[in-house]
Amino acid sequence: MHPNEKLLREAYEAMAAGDGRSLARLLAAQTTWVIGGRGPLSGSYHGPDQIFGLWKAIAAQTGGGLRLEVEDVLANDQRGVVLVVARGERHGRHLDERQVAVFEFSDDATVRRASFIYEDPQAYDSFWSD
Amino acid sequence: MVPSSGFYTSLMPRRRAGVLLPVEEAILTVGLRRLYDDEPEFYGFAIAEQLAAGADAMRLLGHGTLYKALGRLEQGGLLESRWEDIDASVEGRPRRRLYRVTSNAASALAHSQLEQRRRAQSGRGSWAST
Repeated sequence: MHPNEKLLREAYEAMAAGDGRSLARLLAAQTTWVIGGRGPLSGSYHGPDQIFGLWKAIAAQTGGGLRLEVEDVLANDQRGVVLVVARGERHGRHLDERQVAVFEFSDDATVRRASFIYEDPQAYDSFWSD
Repeated sequence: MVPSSGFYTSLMPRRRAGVLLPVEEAILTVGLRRLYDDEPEFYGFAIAEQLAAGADAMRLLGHGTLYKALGRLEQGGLLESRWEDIDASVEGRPRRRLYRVTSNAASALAHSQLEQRRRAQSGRGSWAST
């Protein structure tokens, strides 16, 4: 297993466990988190404060966060791609969507950039719409 | 001013020209009330709570009916919208799509209600046969 595949699998395990300390090790001041599309959460989040703020908002809005089921991880020295099924409940609505997450790594093993794309962006946007 | 005859018939070919769906009439009614109350902007989830209590509101949300109706009304020029200017990572929730009625809304609503009364009195339904 490539070290970056291991790193990503451990990151998703940490997310599932709510282990913020482990996740914080992946983030640096220059880390950018990008939610694709034109929906309520779409945009770029820069640095640990904004990214943790986003995670907290997702957790607060979904009663504990999305359940992220990793289907596969592909990685090399520069990038990693994680195929995920995201599930959650919000305002009586149900999310069950495949997601592609693309990670780019810095030399210090932190994430430089992560981008998230959903198979059905409209369903994802509808889930988050108020 | 009565909306032009083709202003939404192209979007909803089975609909009688100038006749709005009940959910669309309800949205415009709430939107106009908010305009008169000098708080013209509203968002979907809030309007759902105003439209109907309990089961009806959840039915609207659950099937995306409300959001589709908002989209149709905007395409038809009866609503306009903008994204709320907030940082989701700070506010702890997704940004909202804020809607307000346009200057065409009141006349479109009045025309729709008049047309439906006229058709009811003549013994015909509001909808085209398929």
